[in-house]
Amino acid sequence: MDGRHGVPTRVADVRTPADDTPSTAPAPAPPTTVGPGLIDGLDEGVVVCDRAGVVRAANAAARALLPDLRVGEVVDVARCEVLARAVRGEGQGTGSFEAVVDHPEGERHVRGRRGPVLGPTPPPPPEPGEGDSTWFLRDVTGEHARTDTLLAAQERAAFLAEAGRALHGVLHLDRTARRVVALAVPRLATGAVLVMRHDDQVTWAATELGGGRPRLGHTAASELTRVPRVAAALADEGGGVDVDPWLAEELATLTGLDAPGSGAPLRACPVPVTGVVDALVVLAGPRAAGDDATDPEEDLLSSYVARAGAALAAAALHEEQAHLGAVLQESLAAPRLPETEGVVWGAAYRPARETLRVGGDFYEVVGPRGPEGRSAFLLGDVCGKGIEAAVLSGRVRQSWHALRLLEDRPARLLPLLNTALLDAVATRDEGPRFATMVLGDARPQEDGTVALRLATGGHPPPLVLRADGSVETVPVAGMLVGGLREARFGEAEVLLGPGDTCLLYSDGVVEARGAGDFFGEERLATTLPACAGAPPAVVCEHLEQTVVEWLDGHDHDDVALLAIQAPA
Amino acid sequence: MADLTIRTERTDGPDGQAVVSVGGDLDYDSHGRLEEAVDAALDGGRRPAGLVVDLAEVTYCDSCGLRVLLGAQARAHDVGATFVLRGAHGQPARALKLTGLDQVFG
Repeated sequence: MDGRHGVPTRVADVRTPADDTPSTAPAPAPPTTVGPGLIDGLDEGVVVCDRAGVVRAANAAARALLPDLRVGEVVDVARCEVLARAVRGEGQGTGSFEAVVDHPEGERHVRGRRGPVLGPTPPPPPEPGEGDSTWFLRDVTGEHARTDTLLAAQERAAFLAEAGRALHGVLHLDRTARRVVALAVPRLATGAVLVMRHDDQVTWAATELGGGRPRLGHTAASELTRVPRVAAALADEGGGVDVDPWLAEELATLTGLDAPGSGAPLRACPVPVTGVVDALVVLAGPRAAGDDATDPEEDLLSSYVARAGAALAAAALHEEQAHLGAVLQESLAAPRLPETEGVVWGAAYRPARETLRVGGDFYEVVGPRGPEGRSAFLLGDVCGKGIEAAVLSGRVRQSWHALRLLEDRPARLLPLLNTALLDAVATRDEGPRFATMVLGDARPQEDGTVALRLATGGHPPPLVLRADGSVETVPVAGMLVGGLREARFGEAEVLLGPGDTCLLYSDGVVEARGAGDFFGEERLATTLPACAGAPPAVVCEHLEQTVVEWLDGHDHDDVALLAIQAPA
Repeated sequence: MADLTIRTERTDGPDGQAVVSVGGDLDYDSHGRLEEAVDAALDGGRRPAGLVVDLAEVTYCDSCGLRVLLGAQARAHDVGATFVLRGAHGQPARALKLTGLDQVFG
């Protein structure tokens, strides 16, 4: 080693007056004797090489970074290949490189750039490989570590976002369960099993080795007594815990599949699901081994489990609501029409396109009661849709069923119903809740005719289609039912001859709007004659079809039709 | 199907009127907005002596719409204001007549 290049090892030793010289100023010595004081004062590593690749000078920072660098020797290709190649002009790009180098303290990331030749001759710098070259080296290991941390954080965020998207809006418990385990593999674990208990049922979903669609199964909640560890873990709250291998055996018992992860470490993570469901994810594999609460992977796991919990809760709630809707729908479904001697009934009901499919229209028919053999009927409409309408129309029907046992004359029954509904609303401090309806009864007579008594409240008046095709509007009107204390209601009597049909309909028929215009009473009246003589069910079906065609795909309100006919 | 439009104008003074002019379809989907507009018109700060709801531009009114009108009348009376419904024609007028509300709103 050339003694002139002996460089003090401590920065403090190189503090000379030359340090005060700006680094861009020409140094007093020729390039081969670049003042050690000058370059040693730099934080950046500086290496000066000649055209043969021999190191002419290297400062303390450079030697710290590249311990194998020897002044006076050719840059060791084996030890510092990237710098050697760069010096010879073979590097990546023309004037910079980045490399990972061995270092006694572990790998370092080194970034180098070619700088101006330090010496009495100012730039221009020589072409790569020609003459001396000066390289500035920087240890960027820290930056890399920060970048890696950032990238890892971004990757975790991307995974969670993707999982969130995949789980969001599935709203189906089984499908959500399958996705929860499918998404966990391989990012979080090599295998995953989800167990959840809702009502008296246990649902499990499990990934299988080798991938493919996760398996899913249901079993009775009572089966949990056979798997006490699973049951205990289900009841747990809080973060993931390592579990003993027996849990794997129990999961195998529960699912009938091989134990998850085949011997890999397992941890159980209770899933925070609001209210309706207890759930547990068991993850298998080396990824599940960490237990440091500050570990970002641990954080990722709990974030994932939280998202899974939210998705399962949403799905469970949705299913519960859909079930509620179905139960309501069933209870409010169009009732079966009775078979009555001397009177024929027909009906059609088409609910508006609503999620819960519970509309505001309703009808009821009760077969003959009493010595006169009168059958009672009711067709009406409450304001609103969905649960609110279902509750109100339920109230109207129940009230009608009860009150008509006490008062069968339509014109007296309607005011009672009005008062009952108003009282029910008043006790609850609700806003106006009213219905419109036609109600009445039908009495078949010995001569084959049917005598109808009708009363209406706020509802379109019934039509009568005579056997000869003529159409009459029953002259009856009345006010809303359940809206006004002082309401007045009209009544009418109609005699149906053989083959005559009385039609009750909801305003969804006449207010059906196709391309702009309402279907309207007139169109209804002109549609009817074609149905003369047809059975009442056919009359209703034909009308419903005509209205649907008129709508031409447009949204509509409920449509309800009830036809009463004296057999021909 | 026409979107619901609502415009409220006020006249000042002791007989100040709040005139809520409604247009478009007043139905299940939109009736809540008229309800809010009526509440705002009867707001305590500038309580009018009378509330007028003008249906001249309303193209369709279903039972939910009627319910809001009935509620508006009750609300107006609760705060000591008069209630006038005007301008209904076409289907809204038929709906008012069919339900007997034309007599109620007189």
